[in-house]
Amino acid sequence: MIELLLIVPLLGTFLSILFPLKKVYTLPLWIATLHLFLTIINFIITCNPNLALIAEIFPGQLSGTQIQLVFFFKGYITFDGVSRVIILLTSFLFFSVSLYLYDYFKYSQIKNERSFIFFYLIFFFSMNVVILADHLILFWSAIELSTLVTAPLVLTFKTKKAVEATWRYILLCSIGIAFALIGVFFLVISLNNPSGVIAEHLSILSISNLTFSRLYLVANKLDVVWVKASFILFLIGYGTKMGIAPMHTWLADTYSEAPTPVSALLAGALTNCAYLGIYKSHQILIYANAGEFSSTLLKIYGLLSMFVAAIFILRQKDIKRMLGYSSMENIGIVCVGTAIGGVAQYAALLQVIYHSLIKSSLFLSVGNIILLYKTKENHKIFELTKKMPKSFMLFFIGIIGLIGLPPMGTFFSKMILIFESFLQKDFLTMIFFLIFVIIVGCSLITHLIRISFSKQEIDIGESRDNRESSESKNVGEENFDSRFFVWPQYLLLISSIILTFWIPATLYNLIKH
Amino acid sequence: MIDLQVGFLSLILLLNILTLGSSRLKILIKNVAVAGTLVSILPLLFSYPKIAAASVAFAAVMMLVKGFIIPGLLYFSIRKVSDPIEQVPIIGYHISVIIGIVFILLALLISSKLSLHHLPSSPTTLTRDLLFATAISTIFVGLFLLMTRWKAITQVLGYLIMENGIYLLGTIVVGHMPYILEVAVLLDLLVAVMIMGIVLLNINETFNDIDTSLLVARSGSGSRSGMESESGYSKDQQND
Repeated sequence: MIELLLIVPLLGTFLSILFPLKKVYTLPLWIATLHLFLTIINFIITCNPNLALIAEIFPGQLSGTQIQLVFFFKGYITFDGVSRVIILLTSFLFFSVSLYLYDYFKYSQIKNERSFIFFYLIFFFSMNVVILADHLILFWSAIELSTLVTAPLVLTFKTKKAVEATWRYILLCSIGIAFALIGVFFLVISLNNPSGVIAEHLSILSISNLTFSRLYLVANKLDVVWVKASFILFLIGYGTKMGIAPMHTWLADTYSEAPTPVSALLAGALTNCAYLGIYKSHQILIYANAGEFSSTLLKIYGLLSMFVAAIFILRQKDIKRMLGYSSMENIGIVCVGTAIGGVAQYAALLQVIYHSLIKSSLFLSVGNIILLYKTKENHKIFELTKKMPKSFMLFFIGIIGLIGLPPMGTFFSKMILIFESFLQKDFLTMIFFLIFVIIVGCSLITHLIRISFSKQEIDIGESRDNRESSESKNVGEENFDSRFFVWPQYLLLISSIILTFWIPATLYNLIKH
Repeated sequence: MIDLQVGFLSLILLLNILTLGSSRLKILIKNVAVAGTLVSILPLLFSYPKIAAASVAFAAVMMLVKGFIIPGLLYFSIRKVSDPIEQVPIIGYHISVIIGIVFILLALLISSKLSLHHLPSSPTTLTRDLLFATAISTIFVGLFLLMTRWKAITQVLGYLIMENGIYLLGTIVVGHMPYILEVAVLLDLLVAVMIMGIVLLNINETFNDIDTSLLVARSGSGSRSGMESESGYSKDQQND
């Protein structure tokens, strides 16, 4: 059953080659709908308390109180805990973005739709593998694949800036992720305790069955020095992919130059996949009784990311880069939450969910803005309220969500995080956290007000750089404020608001672990 | 057999030094091809008495990919590139060679300090230490090339050399990885080179060169001449 979640996107990839060219733009939507449907079914089956009935339908898949739906790739993929939440989220995001693509293709400058859709679907496939992977090497290889296949998507418009951003993205991320592979090898070394006494559990564990779930069981018998070393390498590797501060240099460029729907998925979905790597390796360290070490590192680099984001967001002139740096701030928040642990870990996962929904919707709204104004620069966007009322509203609610003002979920996740750090008497983290959150919030509000309400300025040399940075065809005054240009954002924002006030019990249990 | 192992390893070390010292892209690609072939054969040498048929087949596939397909792709992509000689690197060739030797010494020092005696594979202390040292120094050399060379293609080669080093490190500790995963990792490498090649051609098409200093210059750091100043962004916006 779970395998279907991998097979469907892969099938879509093949279909994208064979599909008739005129209809190919409908393909992502079909695949996304099917995938979302399957994900929900799997989710419901695995969460259903009525196990007897399910055991009858799928004999031999019941282990304890949990039903395991993995048939073919046992030992490689799994469907439990956080990955269940993340895959539901990813599938939903992909569905919304595919909905947006439906109209976007008609007005955007994407020349080769078929190759775009090919890489778009294989990107989705790789994300699914990342989320479901249990084996460390499979996880690594899927993360690497997700980097590689997004590069052509970032390159779509082939402007100088896009080429530059792609090169930086692919090179930095590939090198970073290579370090994570060294980390996996270090974990294998740590299986052999230096005292020469190999524990009984460990002797059956080798590279061929090195899964996260098995590692958690035996982690307290591992050689701690090597485990710590491997965590550093995981932090470098998956941190590069996620965009943690010293390794973030690709992030803003890539988010800015990619077509907006791709940016939405990069920021909303791919970041979570990379976060899974950090989260799981942190989990290993906790089980190996070295949680202090990884917490300290995550806290430092999380705060550093927030600091860098706060600095660069302050006077940002490119609307998409602004969102990119705000993503970095979110990455910092999530890392700090993970590091503090306890209830803050719960808050971090909530933050991941809310942020993904809000940030994707924001990128899509910004996509509308860019299509209309044909520019990404803040100071050339004006009177949004009059020109695109619906997109303005969505943009407004999205920014409110990013800042974390009360009606949105991010308020609660940040608040829980601050309370928890207060309770743990971690005042230094709390103060820095608050300062950075406030700086980012204030600058976002300033940008929001400027973009939404300012009058048109007299512009000199306005059209100089137009074709370079615009994604849209010159089709005159099109209506970018209706149909599929706004529905996905409604969907995303409404679901994020619903999730703020009502978290289904099963979801709550999963997050709470 | 030990002689052969040591011979292969020292050959890889020498190739690293040669790679650091040469400026012609074609020679660099040939070096990487030879190193890739050697790296593919090495796991067979280390499991010499009991070699499975599957591992021979996999080694052959890997040799094909690392020794022929990837260098072939790179060769194909530089045929279209105007200038097949590396610019003056950030750190000169002579100093690079010396640094390469320092890397080897450093790696030998590290491997002698680490207690790897309990690892399952590799029989003697000499080959194990040398293998570890080769792996570490190859990774260093790859990173060094990535940092100090301007041409995009040299950076791809640096990435490949680094990947070779990681694979060598893997052969010490891994023992036997399931083939499905080995294939996945190898496929990743192949896809990486193909996509990097696509981007490379795009860089060449857009900038008329594969010199990444053009890219670097645009983002405001380490500016070099030869850059069109037509970017619509003001200077203080290039903030990273």
